[in-house]
Amino acid sequence: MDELLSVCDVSKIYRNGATSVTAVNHVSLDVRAGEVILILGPSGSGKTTLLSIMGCLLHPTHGEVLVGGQNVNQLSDGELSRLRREQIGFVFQSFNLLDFLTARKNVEVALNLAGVRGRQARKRATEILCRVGLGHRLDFFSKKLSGGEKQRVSIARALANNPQVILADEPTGNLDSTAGRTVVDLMAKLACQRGSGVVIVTHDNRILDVADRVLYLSDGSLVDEVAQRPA
Amino acid sequence: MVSIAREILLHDKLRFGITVVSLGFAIVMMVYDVGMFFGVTGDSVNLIDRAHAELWVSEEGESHLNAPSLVPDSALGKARRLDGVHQACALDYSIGNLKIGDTRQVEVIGIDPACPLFQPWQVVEGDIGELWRKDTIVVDDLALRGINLAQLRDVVELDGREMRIVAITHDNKSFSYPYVYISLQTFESVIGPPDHYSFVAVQLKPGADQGQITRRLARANSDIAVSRAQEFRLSTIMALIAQGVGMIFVIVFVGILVGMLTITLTMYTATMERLRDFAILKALGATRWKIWGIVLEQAITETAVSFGLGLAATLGVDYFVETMSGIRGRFPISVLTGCFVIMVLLAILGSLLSIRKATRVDPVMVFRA
Repeated sequence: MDELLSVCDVSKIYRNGATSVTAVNHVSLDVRAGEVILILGPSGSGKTTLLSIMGCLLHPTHGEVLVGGQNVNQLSDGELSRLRREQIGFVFQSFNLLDFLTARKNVEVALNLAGVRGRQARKRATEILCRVGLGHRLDFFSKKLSGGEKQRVSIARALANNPQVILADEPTGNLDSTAGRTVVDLMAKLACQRGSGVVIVTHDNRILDVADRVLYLSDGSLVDEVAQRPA
Repeated sequence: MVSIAREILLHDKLRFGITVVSLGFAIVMMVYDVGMFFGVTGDSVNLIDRAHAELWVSEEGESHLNAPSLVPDSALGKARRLDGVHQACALDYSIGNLKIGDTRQVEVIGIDPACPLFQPWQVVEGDIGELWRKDTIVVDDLALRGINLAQLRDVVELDGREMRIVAITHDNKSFSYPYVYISLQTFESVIGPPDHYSFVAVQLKPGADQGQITRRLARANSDIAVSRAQEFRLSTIMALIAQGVGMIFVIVFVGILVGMLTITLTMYTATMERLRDFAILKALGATRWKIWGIVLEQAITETAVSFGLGLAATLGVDYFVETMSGIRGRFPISVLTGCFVIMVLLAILGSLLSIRKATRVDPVMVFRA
């Protein structure tokens, strides 16, 4: 299988005068098409830092990140923005919807950023929201949506531009078990249908069965990897 | 396409309304006073503009219309006899008291009704040609405002002398007082002094050498100044500014300052409250220029809406002030456009701090609760 995203011996070191903190320590991993990867670890193990690096929001101190075969270390800020628009989708623990926009417009914004405008954007946003089961909540503002509904809007937004990789940071963190399970199943199903890879950072052991591979992070280092399904 | 700027503005309508009203107030301060400046100065140089004369003769050292000026009456004849002069007319000018029921201050203009350079305009009733008759007067309707007593043919008092109204004009006024016209002879007998005029205006023949005629006029008369019409006009305006009209610029400056502070503060506050949203947009792939565009669009939209409101309020205030006092502003399109451009530039300047904040936000903050 082709690697959609590769992390090659990446480290992230934060320096503050004489002291330094290694948040990520020589981590390597590949994300393949249709694959769901879970990254587990205690708080402070570097999961979110690793996700930020994978999502081109943070530069690693050492190592390389390849997205679609392209080394992101060599890209300008503008090129990184384009990469995030077109090839990476984010799902956040705190949903991070724009509260001044309706559900539909939250998804439309992601499409607009990628150059899809007007009726076409509106139509695609509607389609995706219907696929995540929110066809009846298109014109609701986020404060009127439940936690599960907000996360589904977030998933729809992440999928809007058919990204290669979905990066999800604790997507079930603010949801009850039922809603959380629904959301993760939905994300995995839709992403895999489109051939995207999914990386989920989580504390939640209840969703282990969703993953093709489970990686364990501790003190910034990858300490274990379990393949739950053959590659 | 979703306009993020517009959605942010309209999401909190109360805040938007307050900002628009605040900015609109600043715009009224600016636009109204700029309009008043053009109105005041425009009305003050009406006589100069309408004379269509190339040269103005005044007393030496007093080269503007509002100054007390005495020019020997012989200067008129000498001007008329010069080669290249098409015509020359004399003008007398003073402040007077017109009594119609109560007493009102007016600007008294002494003219030769047969001389074309100084003719009342917008004559709504009567015949100005009758001014050649002794003790006759042409009165502007502003002087009659609020009085139902005086009509055409009625007798009124000017500085204690009774005169019959032979014509009524509209919009013949300086910025402060309406004009009344009397003949040069009547002016001399009522106000004086004898053997002098206030000014002489000279209109040249096509192709005449203005410089040469200016020198000849100056040589032919002692103690006079000969100015080109534009210079005379400008010095009249500058004298007005020096006499206090320049205070308008202080108010305009305050308006600009208030506007700038309002936009800077509201944009900064709004941006800081939305910093996380900008981080989200950056995480989704918004470029720095997209963020620039969102902040600028907010600022310019608020400014444009405020300008519309401020302009409507300005015209309302102007109408009210003109109705009550006769003082009116002038708002040519070029002036309004200039004011709008200034406000937009201020909006852009006032947004720079907010843009800096928004573009520098770390998108990694989206991972924090």
